[in-house]
Amino acid sequence: MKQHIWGMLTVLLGATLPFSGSTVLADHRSGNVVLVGGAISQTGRYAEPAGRQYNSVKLWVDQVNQRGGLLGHKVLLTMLDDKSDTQTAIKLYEKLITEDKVDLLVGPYSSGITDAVANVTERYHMPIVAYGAASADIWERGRKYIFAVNDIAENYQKGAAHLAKQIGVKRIAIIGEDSLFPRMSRKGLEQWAKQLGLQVVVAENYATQKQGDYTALLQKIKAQRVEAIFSNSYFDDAAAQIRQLREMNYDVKFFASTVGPGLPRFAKDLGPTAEYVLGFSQWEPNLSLGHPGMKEFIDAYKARYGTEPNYHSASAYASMQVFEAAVKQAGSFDREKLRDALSTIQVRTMFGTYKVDEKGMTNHEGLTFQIRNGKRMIVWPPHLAEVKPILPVPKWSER
Amino acid sequence: MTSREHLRYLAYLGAFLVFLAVLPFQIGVYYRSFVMFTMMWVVLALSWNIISGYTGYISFGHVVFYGVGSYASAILVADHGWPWIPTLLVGAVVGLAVAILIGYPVLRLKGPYFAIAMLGAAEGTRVLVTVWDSLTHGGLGINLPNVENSMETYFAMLALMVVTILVSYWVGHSRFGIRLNAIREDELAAEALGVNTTLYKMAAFSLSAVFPAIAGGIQANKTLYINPDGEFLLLITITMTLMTMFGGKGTVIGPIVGAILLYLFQEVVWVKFPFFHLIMFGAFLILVARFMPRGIVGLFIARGWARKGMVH
Repeated sequence: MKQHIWGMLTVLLGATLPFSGSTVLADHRSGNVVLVGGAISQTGRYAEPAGRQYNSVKLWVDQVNQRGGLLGHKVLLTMLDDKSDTQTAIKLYEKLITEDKVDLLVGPYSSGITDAVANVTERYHMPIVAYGAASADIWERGRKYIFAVNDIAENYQKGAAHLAKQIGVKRIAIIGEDSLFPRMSRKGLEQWAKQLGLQVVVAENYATQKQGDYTALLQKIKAQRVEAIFSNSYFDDAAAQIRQLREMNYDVKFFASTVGPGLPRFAKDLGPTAEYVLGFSQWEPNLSLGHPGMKEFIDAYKARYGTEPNYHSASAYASMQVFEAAVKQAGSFDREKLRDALSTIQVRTMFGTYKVDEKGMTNHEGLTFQIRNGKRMIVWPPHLAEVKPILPVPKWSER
Repeated sequence: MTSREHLRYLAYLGAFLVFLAVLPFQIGVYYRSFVMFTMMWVVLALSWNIISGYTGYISFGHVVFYGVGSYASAILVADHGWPWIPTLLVGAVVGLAVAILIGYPVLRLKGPYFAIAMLGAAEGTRVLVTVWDSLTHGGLGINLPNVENSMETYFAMLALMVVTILVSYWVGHSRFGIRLNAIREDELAAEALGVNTTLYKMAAFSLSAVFPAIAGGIQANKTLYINPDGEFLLLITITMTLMTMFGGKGTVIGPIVGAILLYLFQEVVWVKFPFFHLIMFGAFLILVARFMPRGIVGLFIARGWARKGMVH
């Protein structure tokens, strides 16, 4: 009996030995390669925007290898799937940093997952450019290794709020999913509303994964004689809400959403119902924005993926441009040197100029667009507007 | 079963324990987390098994205990500055309280009605946690202070797993367990024979709630960020159900085997196929239901590869 146990123990202990990892030093990998790695939502509810970001990272890797790689090293990409789940993302980032020992770490998608992953990257002093996140909260926690490229969530409804003021809207409703990003967007909008003298008569968060029925909420909004609806929403909820507004034949002066309308799918799937919806964008594939390298990026993305890039694609690509410049400046893949470079350099990307403050945030300014004939046309800020917005939007009965 | 046999199983468990106690010093952070999460799933599957495997009351809302446990712990750590280990006990008490609150009315329902009521209880709690902003921070979630605690959480989970295994083993070999089985086979007959079915069901349900609540608390302190969507995810209930069914429900070894194999498979194989893993998962499920309705352990016994003694 006793021997039996000891025999078993020896076997079990022996089995643990292959686990004990040997330390691989960054940029001393065999075959002169550097490993770029990350985890992003390839499946699950964030798969659509996250997939666009992944596309851009792949595109950049191929291009940088054609240019001779990073500091003469060939770039190898490993991108894992976090299934749109925070717990999985955290585990995968631990794996990427401690087991795979990646040289450059790229970010996940969504503010919530980024906020959680930032705890891990911060512990290992691993610099990261957060192309998938926009909530200012992430940078309010005193973190030192995370850098922003996007305009913050608090500003997503800024343009629409200004347009509401312009056309004399008084009573507004703010609705949105109850999660980190939509709540931050709401917080910002409430401040803009106060500043601009808009009266918030309905403000409500709804639980996520709701079965797409918002009629009760919209009825309540209608009963309050709301003139404009600000919806802090992703694709599914925004699409359901505009459809149900039409079914109810409820005419508002406008419907403004945050993320949904910026996805090319929105105008395509909803057709005429999507017309005149206001949306927010960090960037549009519109050369009049005048950033260097836009045309090359748009052409390359279109050639490879058969679709125009949207702002999700663009912010991810810009982050890689920023990384490339930072690595060049640092002259190594040393984490501290990279961090210093990322916090001091100024880079002109195809997305805008990257330069961060002491918190790691940028002052990138977003755009508000209106869907017109199935296209997203910039209507705000005024100096970048392509067209004059049609507001209030035509009544459902007159379309 | 003779006491000699009990001793033998205890010795196996002891050897397993020594192995798991040495292991974390041999491996890096990621594998340490990986083994920790594997142990968490063993705890969840075994707990689900106590109510659903032994009494046949299928709980489709077991995630609720995991969720309230993780919230209790996270709130105390993040908002009240408690050290994390004592918060686990508070989580256990909260889990127990929720079990009694839900179980008292709901355990009177039978069959699919119970399953649906549990589903509703879990979803309802998720919405409550989302709406109760002043306590839970709603959809913003809770951020815990950033620390590297993979070693501490590992040993906490190991201790919890050992207790859960011992309790499950006791349930499987005691009069208590026999009575639970009697409820599963024929509740009316059990009652006629003098078994206080309500009391036993409540006891089994409470027992099956405490361990997930503690596991949720440990998990929250490892993940360091929780939100209602993640903590009350229906998929968590489905996964613990599947693991138990796959391994063999109503047995002690079954949920352990099922949890380890499925979690390992998920981590090693499925991550390689991001788009196909959902299809593979579905196909796998159908195959298990068709060819191994009693799970791996059931199959082993049917083929005569294992003795029936292992089952209980």
